[in-house]
Amino acid sequence: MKRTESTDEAVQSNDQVLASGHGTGLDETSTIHQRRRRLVRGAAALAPLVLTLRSGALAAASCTGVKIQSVAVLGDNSVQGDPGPFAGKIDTDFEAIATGDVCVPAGELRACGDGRVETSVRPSHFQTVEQQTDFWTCGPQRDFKNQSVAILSSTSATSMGVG
Amino acid sequence: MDDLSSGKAEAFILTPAARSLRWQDWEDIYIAYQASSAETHFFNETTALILQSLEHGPITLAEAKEWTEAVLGVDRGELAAGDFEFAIERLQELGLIESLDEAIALQ
Repeated sequence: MKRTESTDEAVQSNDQVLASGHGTGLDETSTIHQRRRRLVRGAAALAPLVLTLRSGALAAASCTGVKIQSVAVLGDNSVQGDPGPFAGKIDTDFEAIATGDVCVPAGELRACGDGRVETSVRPSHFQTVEQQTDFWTCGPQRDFKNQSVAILSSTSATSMGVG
Repeated sequence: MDDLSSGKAEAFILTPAARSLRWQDWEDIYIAYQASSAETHFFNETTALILQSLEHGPITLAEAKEWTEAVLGVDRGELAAGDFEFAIERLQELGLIESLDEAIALQ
């Protein structure tokens, strides 16, 4: 059990770090137990977790980051009833969008400075879908055509209570 | 925000909002209530330690990452730089940490 031994040594040395002054929020005993549990669960537990629950009517009091504050979604472009190959395309650099991002009508968000947005309602929304290479739409049905949308990361959307 | 790989050494500090968080330890999850925004945050141990690393004054992101890895008991570099930077970005967005330069400029 070499791995366990070396970990216990690390625990011991790190407890000295904790004892040297950094103490808020984590007591020593629980910290030791947590390290052992984390070993069992593996590396995934190491990644930082930040989830925020916003408080009802006070939600508008805080802001969250936005990837794109406003971008056009292309509409149908044919008079023949064919919506056209790029109907619903989010008209921006495809590299700016990632799987899991969320489209929200730009009009339902308010800028609150420094690239952040806020909302006081739960806005309509669709996850971005890559219809084909470099061609992203809002939802599989190409929603929000002819509208301006904001693009939120999945984390920002979760923080805002969207999604 | 500083890129960890850029070699720049911008220091970060906790904001007053972070210093007034009300903490509750619930097994591996840390619940922190932020009165200034009426938000409740859920952190795991790694994020709680990142905040803790800034408790005693300004430190660089590289120092914060190194300290966090040491207290977690993992090898240096085992905490992915991308994951760490993502957490720093979110903590900035939430108004819990800020660049020392920005804090001075605002005064």
